[in-house]
Amino acid sequence: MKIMGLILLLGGWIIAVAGLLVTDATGVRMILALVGFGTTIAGLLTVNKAHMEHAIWKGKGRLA
Amino acid sequence: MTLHNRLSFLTDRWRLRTWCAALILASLVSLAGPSRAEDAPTEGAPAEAATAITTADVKGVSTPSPEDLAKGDPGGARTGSAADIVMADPKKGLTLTDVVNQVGQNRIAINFVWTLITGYLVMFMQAGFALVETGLCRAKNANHTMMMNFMVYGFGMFAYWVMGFAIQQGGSAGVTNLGGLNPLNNEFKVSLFGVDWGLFGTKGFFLSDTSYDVGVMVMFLFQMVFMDTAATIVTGAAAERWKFAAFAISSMCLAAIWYPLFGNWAWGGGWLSQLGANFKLGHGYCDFAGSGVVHAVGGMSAFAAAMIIGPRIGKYNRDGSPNAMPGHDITMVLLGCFILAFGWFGFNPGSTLGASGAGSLRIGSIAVNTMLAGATGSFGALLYMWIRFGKPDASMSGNGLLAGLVAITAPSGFVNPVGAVIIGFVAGFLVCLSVEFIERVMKVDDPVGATSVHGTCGLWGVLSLGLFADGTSNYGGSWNGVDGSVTGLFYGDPGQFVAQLIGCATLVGIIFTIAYAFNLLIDIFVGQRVSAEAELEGLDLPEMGAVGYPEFQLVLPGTGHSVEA
Repeated sequence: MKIMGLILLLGGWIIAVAGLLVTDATGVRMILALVGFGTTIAGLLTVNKAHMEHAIWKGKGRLA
Repeated sequence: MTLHNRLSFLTDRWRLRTWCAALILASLVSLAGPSRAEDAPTEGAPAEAATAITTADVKGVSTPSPEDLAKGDPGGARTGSAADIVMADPKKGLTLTDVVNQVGQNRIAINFVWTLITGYLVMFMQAGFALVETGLCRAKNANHTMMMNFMVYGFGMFAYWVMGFAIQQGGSAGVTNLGGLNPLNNEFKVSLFGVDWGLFGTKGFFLSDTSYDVGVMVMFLFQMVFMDTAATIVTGAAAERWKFAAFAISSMCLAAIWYPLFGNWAWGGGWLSQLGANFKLGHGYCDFAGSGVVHAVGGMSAFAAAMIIGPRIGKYNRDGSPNAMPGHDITMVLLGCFILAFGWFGFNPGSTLGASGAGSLRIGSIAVNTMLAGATGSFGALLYMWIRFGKPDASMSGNGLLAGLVAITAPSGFVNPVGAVIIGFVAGFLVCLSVEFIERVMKVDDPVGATSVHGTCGLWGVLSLGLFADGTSNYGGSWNGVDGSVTGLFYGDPGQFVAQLIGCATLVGIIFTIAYAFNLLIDIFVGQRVSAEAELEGLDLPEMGAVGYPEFQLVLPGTGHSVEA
């Protein structure tokens, strides 16, 4: 899950930057930048979800 | 009243009317343009040439005599004259070259003093952060939290001196307000897809060699206190359970590696700042004073650390519902907020890096924007809390103030006061929503709301610049190598908004990932979290060896058990 999150984080950034290289149209670049930014946020949530699986308050973590 | 007096009154009134009529007439005439043909400039005729000053003019300037000066100068009219201009060769007397050089040096001197003083104000913000974070933590952790805020200044500064500054600003030569910064003249770039991508600077390590330069020193001081602001954000999110050794290493890594990297990309001539010049996206990524560079970088790092360390014991119940863990001193919190708001007048207006030349007089509107956004930020948060929970919450009002200030930091130099009010108000609402989302949905424990204040509102600040920049700023005619004024989506330039979006994607996608990876490594090799026993006891004794309030008996809430001092 953590790896998936990190892939989404980096993938989102690549999508946003790739828009610069594949087109000159500002509208398309904006859509790709929005999609990329959204993907990075999804990556953040995914990494957090991985940490929540072992949260101490669930009684499975090292501090339980 | 005698008849004479009455008549005199009428006469005065008549005179007044006459004068008013004459004034109105004169105004209309002047608005309409020159009334006589000979007054109108001939089309195409050259303007009258400015008279050049000669050395003879300079030599002819009269100065107050020593006798006059010996009488004292209570009015200040005689102090400061041509006699005070430094002469290169006193035998030759005052020359035109002396005068012109003095004018140039005066401009740089004004800018040095401005940048240094605003830098000192930013340094004082450390005190504000220390008060806010310590006040929002429990009394049993007061010493530990205060010490983190205190020592981050030294740890961060050392790492930044060794390498952080060089990575960030090592290729930023050309800052005319500070005399050019010519020794910082090498940016490492890779060439991809026909474009140079600036990645980091390579001059200025240890401030040695050619970077031992007066302008570079001013730049270092100003940039160092900015970096320290980012580093101290993390201590709030990880407070009350962070091992001091892990904090020290993590802070130094931030100061040496990922803060300077993003700083270079945005401020040091790196690839984000060149999105305008290379890809025609507005003026490239713009961040006037650091909503992204300082606050979002700090916020992303804080979020990564808080996520890895995990929530405090007792923050969440087994069903995942959160418990409130109120801080121990709301007066410290609000006093800290005021100190931060004061320091922000260094943060934003100081980012012109000068008060003379190249559009620097915009410092007035930058300061007003800063005030307004802070005020509306606290108002927005107060309104949210009052409507949602029935009380005007003090700590969230303070966080709202900071949220508004964080959000206006990037756009402060490019927006008008109405834009600043909107940006601040939205930030005030946003910080409350974000605190609730992070605490209840993501279940990340952030005792002071640092991720929401600095991360969420930092990103909002970066985006808001791309929306509200009104195209009236003119810092020497160009920004990031692109001519003209920075203009946002609402004022006609969608490309600027795209550049800001790419900046946000970089902050979350790259900076968060680097911060997360480094903090994970620290967790593996050093351990980020204190023992459960130390956490329950409070970190003051186990980590620092002394309690914050030795003359008070601290009682664990709900247990009645005292914490031994």
